[in-house]
Amino acid sequence: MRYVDEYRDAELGRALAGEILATVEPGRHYKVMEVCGGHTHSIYKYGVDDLLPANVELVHGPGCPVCVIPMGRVDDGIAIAHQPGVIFTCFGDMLRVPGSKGTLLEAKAEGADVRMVYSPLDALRIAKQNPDRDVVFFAIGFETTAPSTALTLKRARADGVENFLCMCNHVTIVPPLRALLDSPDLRLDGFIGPGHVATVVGARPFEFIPADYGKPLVVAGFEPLDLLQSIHMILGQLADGRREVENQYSRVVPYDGNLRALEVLAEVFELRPHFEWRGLGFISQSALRLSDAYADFDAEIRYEVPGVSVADPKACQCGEVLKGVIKPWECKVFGTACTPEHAIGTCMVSPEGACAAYYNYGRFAREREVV
Amino acid sequence: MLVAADLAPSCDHQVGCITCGDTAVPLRVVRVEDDPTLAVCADADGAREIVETSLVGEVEQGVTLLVHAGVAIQRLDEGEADSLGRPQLVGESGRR
Repeated sequence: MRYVDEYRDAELGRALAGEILATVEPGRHYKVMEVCGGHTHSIYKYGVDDLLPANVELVHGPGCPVCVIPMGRVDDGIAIAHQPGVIFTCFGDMLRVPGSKGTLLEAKAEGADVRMVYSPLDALRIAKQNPDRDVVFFAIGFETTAPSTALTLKRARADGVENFLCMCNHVTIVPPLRALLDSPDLRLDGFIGPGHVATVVGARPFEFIPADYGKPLVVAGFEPLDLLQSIHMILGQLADGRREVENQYSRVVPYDGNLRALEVLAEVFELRPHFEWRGLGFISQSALRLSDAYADFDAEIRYEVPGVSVADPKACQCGEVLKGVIKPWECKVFGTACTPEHAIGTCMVSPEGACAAYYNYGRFAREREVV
Repeated sequence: MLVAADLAPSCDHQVGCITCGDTAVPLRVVRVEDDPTLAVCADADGAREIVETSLVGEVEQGVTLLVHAGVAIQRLDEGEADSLGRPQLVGESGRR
């Protein structure tokens, strides 16, 4: 298919790998973070890391929205799902994310009406089909997904659907990146920027990374050649002494984003003062809630939720994995007590999660061969 | 024991999760619905879905859209890649 096949060309990939090898300084160790869980998935699916020199290390970032949901929010969702008459809808991955007393899938087994949807528009359709019941959509995701929720809420209002509600867990990408960069135990040389978040917000919001922290960021696409080229661009900036935001994915990402989408987000959402991130703690203004104009659709206003912050299981080291401090296999329970079928931590639940990517693609090798 | 793939084909480990990750997919417009903000789109295998298109303006049959969670977030118009359909080379349009 056009826009896919041409970015998987093996010959071009080998050529880019050669250019990367020629760009790195022997004896220098490079740590590059891919912010987005979709990039983590692509890197292991296509073996991009196997084409890199041994001194270029990829570190996995916090960009999987499922992985950063804290247990307390899952508990809140389950509490709403158990309310009489409620149909609770969410994306597939969320069903298996453990809260402190179980998962949404287990809540379904106990009798709650929990349904998986592919889009919030599907949840709205269910609401129209069940006018005598409240249909709650558990909204999750970064700025890529938030416009979909926002458009659905606008459509619900336009169509007069009063039984459609949203439990909003949308998060924003810049505050956690700032938190990571302020973290004393993390040393990074550059960032592979999230291509589809940037499709919505543009590349401009990432300018603080070179300006305030002196590190390059390259907004990247998701095909193997996109990733190799982005890594080459980051290493090239480091070699030239430049620190900039560059846009490798300019066939998709406008530098200022999708202005229509940004207008819709500004109308439907406002920033929460604080939001808890798994592994990163509470971060100011890092998540969205419904604006006052859409308060009638806010599930957290219509239903009482526990709202209790719950600590992660002691054995779980998702926090360190999300910050890139340890590799997934260095977690005490990786591949033993914690597997995709019986996940303790969220990084193992979602295919976008770093642990699941390692587990599913057999990345058990502790050391890579030198190319 | 149910695994994710049983519950959600989109969450299959081979294809990743198109709804919850930061991942969107290119789909081609097959037909614009009576409501012009909705279009039937198809993927490379021909699987069809209805897509909300109001964030990318007016669309017509044959254009390719980048779709995430049922919503088109960008048009993939001809001419954005280089003449061979490959990524831009470093130092050309890839650099700001």
